[in-house]
Amino acid sequence: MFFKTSSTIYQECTENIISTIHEPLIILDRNLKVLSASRSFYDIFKLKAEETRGQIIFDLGNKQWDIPELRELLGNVLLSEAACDNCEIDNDFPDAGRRVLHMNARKIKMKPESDGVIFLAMNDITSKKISEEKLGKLAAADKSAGDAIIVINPDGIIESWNRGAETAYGYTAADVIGRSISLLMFPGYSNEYKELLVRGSDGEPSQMYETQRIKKNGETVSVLLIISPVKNKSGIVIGDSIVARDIIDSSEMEIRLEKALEKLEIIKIYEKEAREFPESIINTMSEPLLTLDKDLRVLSVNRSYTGLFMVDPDEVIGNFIYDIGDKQWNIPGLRELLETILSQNSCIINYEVEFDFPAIGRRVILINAREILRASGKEQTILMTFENITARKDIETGIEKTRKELEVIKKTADEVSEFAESIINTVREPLISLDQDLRVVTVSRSFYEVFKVRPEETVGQLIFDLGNKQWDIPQLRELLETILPQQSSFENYEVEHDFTTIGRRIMLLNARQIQRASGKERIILLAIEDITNRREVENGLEKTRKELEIIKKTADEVSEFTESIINTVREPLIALDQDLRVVTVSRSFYEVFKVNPEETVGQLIYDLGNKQWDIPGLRELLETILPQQSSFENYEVAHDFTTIGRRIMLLNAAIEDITERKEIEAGLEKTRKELEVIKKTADEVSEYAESVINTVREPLISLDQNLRVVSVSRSFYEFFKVNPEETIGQLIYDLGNKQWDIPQLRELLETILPKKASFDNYEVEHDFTTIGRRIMLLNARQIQRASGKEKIILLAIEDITERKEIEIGLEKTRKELEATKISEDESREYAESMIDTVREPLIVLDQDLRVVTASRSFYEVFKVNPAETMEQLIYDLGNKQWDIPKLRELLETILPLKATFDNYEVEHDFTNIGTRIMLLNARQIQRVSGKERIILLAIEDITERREKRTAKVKSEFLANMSHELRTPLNSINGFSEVLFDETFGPLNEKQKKYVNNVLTSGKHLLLLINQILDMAKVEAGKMTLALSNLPMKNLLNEISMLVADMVSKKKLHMLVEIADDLPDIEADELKVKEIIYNLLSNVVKFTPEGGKIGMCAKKTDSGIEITVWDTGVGIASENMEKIFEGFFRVDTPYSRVTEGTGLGLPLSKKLVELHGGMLTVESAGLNLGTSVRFTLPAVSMEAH
Amino acid sequence: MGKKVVVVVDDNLNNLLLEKDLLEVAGFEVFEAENAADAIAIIKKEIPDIIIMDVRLPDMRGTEAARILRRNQETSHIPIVFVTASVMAEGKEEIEAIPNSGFIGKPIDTRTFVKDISLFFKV
Repeated sequence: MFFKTSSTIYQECTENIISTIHEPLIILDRNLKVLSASRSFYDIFKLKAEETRGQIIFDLGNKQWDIPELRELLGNVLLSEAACDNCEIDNDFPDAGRRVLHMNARKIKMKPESDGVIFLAMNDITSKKISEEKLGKLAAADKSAGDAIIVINPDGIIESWNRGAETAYGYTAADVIGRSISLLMFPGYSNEYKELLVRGSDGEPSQMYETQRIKKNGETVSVLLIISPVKNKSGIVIGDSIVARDIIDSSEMEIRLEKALEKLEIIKIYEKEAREFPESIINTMSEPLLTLDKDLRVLSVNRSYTGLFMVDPDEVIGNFIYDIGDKQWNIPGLRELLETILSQNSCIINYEVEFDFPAIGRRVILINAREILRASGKEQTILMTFENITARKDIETGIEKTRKELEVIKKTADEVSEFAESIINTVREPLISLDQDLRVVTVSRSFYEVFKVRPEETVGQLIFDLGNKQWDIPQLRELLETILPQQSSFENYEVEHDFTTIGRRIMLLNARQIQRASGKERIILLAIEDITNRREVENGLEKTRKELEIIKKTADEVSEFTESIINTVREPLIALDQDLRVVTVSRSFYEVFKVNPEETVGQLIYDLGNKQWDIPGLRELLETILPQQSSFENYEVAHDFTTIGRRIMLLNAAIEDITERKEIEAGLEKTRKELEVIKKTADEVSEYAESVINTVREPLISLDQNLRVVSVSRSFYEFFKVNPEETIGQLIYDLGNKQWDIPQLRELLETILPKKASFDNYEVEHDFTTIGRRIMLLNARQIQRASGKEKIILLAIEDITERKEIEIGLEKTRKELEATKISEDESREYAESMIDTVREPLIVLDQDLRVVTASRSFYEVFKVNPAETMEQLIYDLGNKQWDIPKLRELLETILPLKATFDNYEVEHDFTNIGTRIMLLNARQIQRVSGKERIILLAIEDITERREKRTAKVKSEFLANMSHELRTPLNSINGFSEVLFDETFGPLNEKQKKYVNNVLTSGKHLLLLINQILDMAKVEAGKMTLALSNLPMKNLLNEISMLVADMVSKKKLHMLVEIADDLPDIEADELKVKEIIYNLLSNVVKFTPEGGKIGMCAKKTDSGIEITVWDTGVGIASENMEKIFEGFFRVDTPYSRVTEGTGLGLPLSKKLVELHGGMLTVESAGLNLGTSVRFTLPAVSMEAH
Repeated sequence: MGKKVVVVVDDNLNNLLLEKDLLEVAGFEVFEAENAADAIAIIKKEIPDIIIMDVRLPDMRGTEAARILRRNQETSHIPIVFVTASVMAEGKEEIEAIPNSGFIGKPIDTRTFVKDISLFFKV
């Protein structure tokens, strides 16, 4: 080591620094040829050292470095000797992809006479840039807020002044706007701006300018100005914008660093130029850099280090690294790195440390460290670089977090929308949602029920066109077209309309216009409350009340009349019933006998006035005389009354003249009866009303005028969890342990209602102890009671908590979703596309086995369309072809017992798609709403799978059969042959003949097996053709030779006519031979001895035609069809049937067809001969 | 050289006998085996000039036995003629995959059998 020259040591030192640095670094000579480059440069740009060194930088990597900005940058550095910092180049490299680089260039002179080299450091900020771009999309962060941005007009008058300017100069916007920019300048400098402005007004683009300015408090501030012209639309310069960056800190730091470096005495020993070399590398780096000695004390730091960690070089250099910045560098990760890892490896790359610095907050830092030989050569030092990846990490974390939040939101949105949907279907009120063109998007079940329309004629329709345009209601048009565009919601808009299908209806329309989460569209939710019945009941009650009033009046008149008669008579008068109890008494009676009404009416007459009326004479009259005589006059009775003394009375029992009374009584009776009828009607009406009340899901309560509960609907008890005994008769405010004492309710009942007889949709929010916070819409009606004087208040309570919550939830979700720029459509599409992606047909049935929905694949597989499917009974689908007994069994018998059923196999012959084998998987699902159940039916079509299996089983069977039959035949034929050939000794004639019979039969059997297999193969489509060129003339002659023996044996005459121009064809040789041999052997077989047979072959347009004919038995016309069926043989007296297999002709036909030819048989009739004609194309294509 | 040695493998005793007779008449020394395991043992011991083997054997497929023989250095060169009743195209590949092998379908032609077998000696 001692022998090394200082320059070698520096060389090594430089190389070390270069390889430690994470930043790509390249050193160029003055001709811009590469002297050396850092490892990371090669890594990032995928270049090799040997193909880089000595090259002009622009030629690197197939000239991909020929970037105009780089040319400009290097040109400037070469010419001006200046340094260039953070020149951003955004280039798409063919090899390394898009890269955003911050270029720092320095020209460094090694010796005064030398040409010097250029250091080009590249800070690869691609990922940061991309992250920033992403971040920019996620949240518009005002990055330039730290810089002062000032706009001036051409006269130098300040026109705008931002927060940054305020911070930098101390003036507020109000202080400076309208004043000259020279305010900020030193008096002598005022011309400086003019020069700049002149350049600016020439439209020169932004330029950087370093100068000094005066702050409001008189202090001087060093600033870096970026001045760019402000142009109007037509391109004329109308001012300048000035971005001022406070550079005092960075320039100061440079000075300090310089000082700090000078402190290092060891370095001073060496020539200055040599020292400059590595130091300038350090300072060229925009990456924070730090060198440590072996005791972990800081030797030097660069500008960006002090900038990033906001420390003063003076307090860093010479300090123990852990003590920097008030010990904030005492990071466990760093200790581990320096003390454990570095002592084992001399170099560490990309060690990630996350730490919360007290001064600058949390940072994630990538540390690269390397032990190097310090220039002096004696001590080990450690070079560390720090890459601040906090922002990148934060962005990554942010993106991850956002993604997770989105997931949660998506889930919530799904849940909410599911919930909303189930509510829509639960609500008895018809509900319809429209898009912005007023076309129906969705409709609740009850809408269909109430308005007697069907989904297929509703969804997608213009609302006014529904039900044959019967919805074209002027008031509805007004609401939807005029009111709603102005108000986003509208409640209880009353519409009366005469529908053709369901008659006159009074409806309350509640409309809400909802901005869809996805953004552009809006939908209108329209709830239709049919209040026809309510109105009718109200009207009915009113009518009854009026009638009752009239009746009551009549009755009052009648009784008044009677009473007035009684009271007009001056004589004391008393009316008794048959039990002698007092019915009525005249005023004068009370006066005379000094009794009062309450101790008189209803009493036994004898008991009156303390039994003083128990007079024997009176008893006699009433009990003895009167029953015999209907009247009695002037019956004299003397009696000593305790109260009034002795009286002699003349009693007249006036029963006689009751005509008038009877009439009155009859009138009363009539009235009473009428009243009864009325009462009955009223009862009926009220019963009806009550049942309506109880049917309505809305809680309903009626109060008397003292606000005490008179009656309550069932749903009220259910909803508010109270029971009748603690409710009826109670003050409404006291209900449920006073939890109903709601200020808004008090206001409604005590202030508003006394003034207005009805009040609708009074929104009340209250936190009930039993059921939690509720938002209710109160509708109140004050009703005059039928009975007359009293008032009663009917209070309908609509719980809109959920609705509100859903609205709020939806709104919240919408906002969140919007903020993250993910449309709700995506999530919905996701679910939908999932269903539609499933290849299995899927169908949903309601409990009546009607189709609710079906998947796309269902329509595709079963060739039906949605319109003829929806709402239909499953059995009726596709013209009742779904009425499958096994499906009925599954749906009606099995499913009610078991909620799920898998792999239920059903085979059915569909008229439009043929026989299908299906596996049904069924699930019965209880709907959230409660009572209803739906059935999910997945249908897997296994027809093809099954067919394949069947084919496979069949072909395996054939292969096995073939094998099993051939094995014994091998013995039969083999041994017969051996015997027949007399291999093991001679046989006698009979033995030989018999053995030959065995052999013949065996061979016949073999032929049969082969033909059966061939037939099966052809039918299974497994027979393939081995095509070759066939010399047909030779082939035909050859085959005719084969049968020559048989022909001569039967003494037949054979005529073979082969056309001279018969062409060769391309076909399967063995099969063509088989066809011809089969046909020839047939004609031989079926022709009697001495007959004629023949074969004729000629050329046709497309190939050849061969006819094989005979004069034999022929074929009866009725058997023409059967000859191709197989195993059919024409009965013949000339030929033994055992000779043929009956498969020759059918197999030949199949083989001809396999070649793409045709085979026909002609016969004039029985015993008139047969001719078989077939064609073969010139070139056979395999036809199936 | 003395007699050519042949090992015949077939689980059907009648077929085994037939093939043995035909070969003995033609002057071969014949060893018989009814299953693949016995066959392999005999072949390793006798190192025949040719092997005649059925494909469907009770313990393994003839082609499998052939692969075992091919792996053994002493038996790897011996020609194998598969005589099988499985004549459908499906089983052909497994036979073709065995080097130095041939195929004769059942039922055999007793008049040409020995001649067909002899063709394989030349290989």
